[in-house]
Amino acid sequence: MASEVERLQAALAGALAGLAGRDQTPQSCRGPLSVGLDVLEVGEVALSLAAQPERYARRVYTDAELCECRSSCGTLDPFALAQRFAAKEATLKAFRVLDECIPWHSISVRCDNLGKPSLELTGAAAALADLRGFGELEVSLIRVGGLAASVVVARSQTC
Amino acid sequence: MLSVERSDEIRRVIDAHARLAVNATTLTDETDLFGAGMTSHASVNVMLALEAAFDVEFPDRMLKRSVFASIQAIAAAIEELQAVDAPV
Repeated sequence: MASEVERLQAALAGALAGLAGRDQTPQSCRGPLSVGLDVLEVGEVALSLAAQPERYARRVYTDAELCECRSSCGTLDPFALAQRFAAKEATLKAFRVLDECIPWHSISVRCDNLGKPSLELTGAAAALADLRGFGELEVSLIRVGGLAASVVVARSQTC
Repeated sequence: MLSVERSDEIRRVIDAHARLAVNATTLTDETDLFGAGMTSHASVNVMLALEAAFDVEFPDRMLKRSVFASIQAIAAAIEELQAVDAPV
């Protein structure tokens, strides 16, 4: 069974491969890669949901994220939410955020029908991505035991 | 100088929600809470608990690391929010 480190390494390799596979940026315009990684105990999210489910959910996650994280009976899945929170934090790290105001709602993690995740940036997060010159983003969501993790890879464009 | 009541209430919230390894009474008003072990996710719970305790709501412009970095910074933010809400 793969260790947690091995799974994170595989997720990082997958994110890099995904970025390379669809990068339309001309070789001469490709700037350096920026990587963000975040790990979160799912139990932390479960406790937040138990304490104040609606306020917690509404302050941190977009409507679209909450829709994707609800089971058929309407219950929010703490694992799926924890993965999305980790992805938001990994995005902030990849963007080298120090003390800028980036509301959680401005970073939304969406999954397609096959479960492949992607990032939707709006408002302050989109503006910061432009400022940093990040044209391409790739995100991976990971589950390891009781941990949720995410890797975000961003490539800046130099022209 | 922070009021004792406000400082004590902030420490109570930190003890309950910041998941620090130490008791908040051992922290100074200037101690870096993230340096003391508060995670980003724990800071969300701290924010929600502060909103309930002080009957305020942190607007988007205050959702940044420095606002929750210390007891002193939190107190300043709450003071600003309560001043805005206070009757003229």
